Amino acid sequence: MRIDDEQVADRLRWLDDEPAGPPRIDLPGAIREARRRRRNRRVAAAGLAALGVLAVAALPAALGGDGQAAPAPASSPDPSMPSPEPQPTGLWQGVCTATLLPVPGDPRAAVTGGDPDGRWLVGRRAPQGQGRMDFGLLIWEGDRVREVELPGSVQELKDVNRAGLAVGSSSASPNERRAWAVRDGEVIGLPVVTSGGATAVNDAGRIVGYRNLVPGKPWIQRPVVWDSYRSQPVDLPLPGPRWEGAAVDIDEDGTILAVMSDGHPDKPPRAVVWRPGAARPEVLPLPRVPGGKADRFLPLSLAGGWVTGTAERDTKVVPRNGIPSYPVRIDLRTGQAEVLKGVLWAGIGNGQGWLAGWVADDVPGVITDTRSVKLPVPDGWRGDRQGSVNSFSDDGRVLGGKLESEDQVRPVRWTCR
Amino acid sequence: MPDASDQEYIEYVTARLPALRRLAYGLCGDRDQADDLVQETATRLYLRWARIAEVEQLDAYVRTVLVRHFLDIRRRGWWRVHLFGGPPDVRSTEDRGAEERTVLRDALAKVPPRQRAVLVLRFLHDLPVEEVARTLGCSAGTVKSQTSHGLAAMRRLLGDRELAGRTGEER
Repeated sequence: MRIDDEQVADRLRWLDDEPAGPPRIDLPGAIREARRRRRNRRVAAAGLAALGVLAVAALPAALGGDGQAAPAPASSPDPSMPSPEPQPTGLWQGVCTATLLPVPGDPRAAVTGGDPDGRWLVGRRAPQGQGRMDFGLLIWEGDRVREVELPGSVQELKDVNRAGLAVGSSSASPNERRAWAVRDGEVIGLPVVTSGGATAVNDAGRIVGYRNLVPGKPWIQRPVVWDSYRSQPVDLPLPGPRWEGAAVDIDEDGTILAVMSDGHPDKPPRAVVWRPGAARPEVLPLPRVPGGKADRFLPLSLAGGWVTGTAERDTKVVPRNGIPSYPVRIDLRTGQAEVLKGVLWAGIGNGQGWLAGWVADDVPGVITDTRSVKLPVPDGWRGDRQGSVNSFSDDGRVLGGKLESEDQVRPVRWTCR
Repeated sequence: MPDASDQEYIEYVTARLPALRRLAYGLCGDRDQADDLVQETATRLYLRWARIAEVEQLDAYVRTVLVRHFLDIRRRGWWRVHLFGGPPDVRSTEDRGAEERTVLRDALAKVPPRQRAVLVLRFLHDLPVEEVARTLGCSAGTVKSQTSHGLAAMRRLLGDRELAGRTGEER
């Protein structure tokens, strides 16, 4: 910059002040207005969306339903334990039903994860206590529910394996997280170096997550793996000296997926994988989406050799509904990336490279390689069909999540045939 | 009905309010319009809250929503009448820098909105060029050229000579 440019820039810094007087911001009003808009949009979109789904549903489903890719679990569940209900078999038809999961006492709760068979689901209650930061945790095995308490606040279970070993984290202080495992109702603190959290576990009992590098800066993270809940965490080798981020999933073969960025926190998120036995991690290339190469790829899951996530490409003109978020799956066997039809915001993938989450207008749904299906509400449900999906079985037949309407939030299991 | 996610939303936005108001005020130079801008940003954020629960850089995302909304309404133009209709806010008559700020804010309000957004993000909020580019959805090169045009416009509006003289006195 020229000297006089610097003078102008310096002077501009004087303007970094808050406006005088109390703010007029009305957050309850913002929430009411957002809900009103959501309802209006839904009414407008309903007709068109119904047509779209019918058209897609008329296509023949090309895939067999039981392409289970995961190898036999190393730590098998006890075969004497009751299975929730007989699992349907045969071709996946995308015909789903919703069931509200049991919750003792206050029924407000949500599913936050599940195992690859959909037998175990983990979740949490609506928060209680001062500041409403205290979350009671729930573990469902079929229709049986168990309550779990973790120390600290902002407790969450993120994943559970086929043997029912659940992992998650809680806050010990505003800037310090602790990682936990829960087995048969017993809460086990994972050995941590500093502050950190656990995000996923596979059937061999390997756990992945992150540790925080700088006290007071919880956003600076480094991916770690625990060989078991008894082991010390081990730092995963970084793609480069300045990379930071968190491991978010681990496949049954031990491949680990992380969301990382290169040094500066403003750099876009990238998917990084560590294959078993490989010396170095791989940074997956940004997928191509309509219009060209994506600017961001946010990986959500790794299962059955599929990395699933959402990709975005910046555009000069931002559409009124925002930049589209494309569902993408990357086959780690071939490196091939594929953009699936539709749009998807936060959600989860399964072992066939399918995605589930928030599709279309806030409605929970499934996007497979051939079709997209909206998930229903249970009989007697009143109000909106808003919700999200946080668990998606490898066979595509059991999903866990939540449904919300004006005055309620309920944990839900969807069963599909 | 407030559920966990609503509570997180309220806590997040409450904590971010001072920074968002500062940004909005920097962009539009008017207290009421700044609060309108923040209110609309909060509404849009709620609409997407559950979807973006896993966004890594939430602060950057919210900033983007605010700045793009500011540019959007400027493009549509219906707000412009208000903006240039009255004098910019004076923070406090006892504030010795108030007059200076008024002059600066007045000049900034006359810089074209996109250039203004670049100047505010880069110099009031100290964001790196790359991040400003992401916020505005353009290239780093465009940010640099808009910076240069914006600073040139500011120099013109403030008067090169006056600027040099005052800066000399204060240093």
